[in-house]
Amino acid sequence: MSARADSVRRYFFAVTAQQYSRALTWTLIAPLLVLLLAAFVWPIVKFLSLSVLDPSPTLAHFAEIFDRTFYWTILLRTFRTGLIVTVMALLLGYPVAYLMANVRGLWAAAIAAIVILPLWISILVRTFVWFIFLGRTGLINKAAMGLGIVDQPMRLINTEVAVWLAMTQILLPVMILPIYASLRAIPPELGKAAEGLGASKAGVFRHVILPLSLPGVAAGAVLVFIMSLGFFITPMLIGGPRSMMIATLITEQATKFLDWPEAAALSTILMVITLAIVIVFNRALRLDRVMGSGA
Amino acid sequence: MNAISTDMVATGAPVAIRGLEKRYGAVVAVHQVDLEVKAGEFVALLGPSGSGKTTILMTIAGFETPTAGSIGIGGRDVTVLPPNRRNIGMVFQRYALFPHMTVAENIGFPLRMRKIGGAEARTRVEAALAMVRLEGYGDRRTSQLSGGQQQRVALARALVYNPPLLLMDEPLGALDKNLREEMQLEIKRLQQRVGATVVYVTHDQSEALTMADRIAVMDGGRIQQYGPPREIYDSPSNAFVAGFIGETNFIDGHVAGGAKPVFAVDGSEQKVALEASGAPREGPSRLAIRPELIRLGDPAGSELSGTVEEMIYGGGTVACHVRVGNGAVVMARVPAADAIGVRLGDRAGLVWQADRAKVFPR
Repeated sequence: MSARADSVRRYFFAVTAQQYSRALTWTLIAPLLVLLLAAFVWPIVKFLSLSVLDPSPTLAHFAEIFDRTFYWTILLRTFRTGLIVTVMALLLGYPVAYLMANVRGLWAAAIAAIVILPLWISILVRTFVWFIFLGRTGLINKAAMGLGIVDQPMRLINTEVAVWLAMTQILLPVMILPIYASLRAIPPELGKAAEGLGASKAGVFRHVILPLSLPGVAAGAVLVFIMSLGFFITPMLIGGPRSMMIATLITEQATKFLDWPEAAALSTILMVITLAIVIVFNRALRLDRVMGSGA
Repeated sequence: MNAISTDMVATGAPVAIRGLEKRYGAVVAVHQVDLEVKAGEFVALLGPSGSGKTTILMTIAGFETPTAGSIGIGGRDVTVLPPNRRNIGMVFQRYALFPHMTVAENIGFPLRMRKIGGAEARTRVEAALAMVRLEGYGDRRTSQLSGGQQQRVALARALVYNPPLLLMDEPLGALDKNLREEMQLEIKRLQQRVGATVVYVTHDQSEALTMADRIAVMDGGRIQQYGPPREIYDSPSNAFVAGFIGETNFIDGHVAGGAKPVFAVDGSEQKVALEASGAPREGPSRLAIRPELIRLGDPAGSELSGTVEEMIYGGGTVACHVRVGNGAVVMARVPAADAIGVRLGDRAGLVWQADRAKVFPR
């Protein structure tokens, strides 16, 4: 559990690493670097370049995207879904992270297990679980019909709400772990000091714990938001064609319509917007560190 | 400055601890402790780690609930009151400054919690900054300050709302020696100026001796002795206090001889006359004598003598280690002039005033 929390923390919060010599450093990272260049960077550049180079230098593929409102609807839906999933994961995840950081012994282990175990289960499985709940003959429909609330099964699956629920559940650990890490990093005497200086329990949370956990909240929010933009399996299976998101659209362009340049143009747009968000967030976080929240 | 300084004066509150007991499962951290602190008094809780001193402080603060007994602050029973309603000032070892707030925001925090805002809060924060000699540091980040400055901010934050009681948990533990001594005097000066009652936890005896009006020496969850520094140092009430405060030689032996009691050193033929009034009952005992109370004398004319084993030069004084009998080595700290001519392997007599030696049952 802590391995993942640690790597997340190390990614977002500066941790001074042990110093190795330059030669050793390069030797150690060379194999991965070669693999990344050959199997990741090169294909991506090659693929994305299709959007402006196929068949000859052109902006036609981008122009086509700007012309089709259908694409814009999907792009908008993707970002709306990302935003809603992020907010939901934050609202549900923060209390869990707080609990995890503040209980000890068996309870802490139990909560950690509940948070971490789903990460070991395939996303496909976690997605299909929602059919058991939301399907035509799923638990909720059966219960609602059994209780006489409805007499026809409701359409719960293949809705955007179902996509939000499933994605929130799947991404929840990604929100919880960075928040947990930042809560654990708060020295316990700060809470005591605040209380000793006259703050109520609620005051301690509002004025000390919450502001100091914001870096974790930001890290979790960025991770969940960006991961949700690229979600493919869950929106495709649970959302169906009517709640299509951009990853599904790109796949369809490439595999169904064999329009690789168009898929590349869509990918470029998704990547540019994602990068922009990351940069803006990083900038905001750094500013925050310099000026302090001072709330 | 003058107008402000009078404003900062608060009246200290007396603290009354009665029958305090704190158990963690089977472990007894504090054992039936009674402690009275007068209004405006500076009391140090001094003891080794695990002696229960911090537990007592945390119970006064309200972070720990006593298993039995009661805590009174300013005549009010606060035993079950939460910390934020006890109106105490608190300073921690690691300062516990809020890293997301500026210096001024840190100091203003207790005022904000008391709904004091605007011009009054600003004036008070300024006054508190001036009090700890950090004028103009209000807008700094706490991470930009040195350890000593951070501790002064913590002090200002604890004093800004004139708490009648200030609790300090090893506040100078993280500072280096010079800074620590400087801060000891500064804290003492501030305390006298604001008039607050202080309960101060430390394991550093010189800190307690320097600062406190009274010291409660703790060990094993009990108060071993409670009194002014001089009394603690000169008349320790048991062997633990004698050994814990200052340097002390312990010599094992037996008390004998009724009206004219003598102390027979174990493993030796030597006997030392004892003060008749202060002598304990006969039997196995332990004699305690401070190194600086011993003079070197003529081995033939002294009751106690031995072989000089080691001489450690210390500037104005020399520490002479003298082996008496087969077990005990007694250290005498004598003026350097008295040690001229003394050589390793010489016989030396050890002389002290009978009433300065303490004898405790063993």
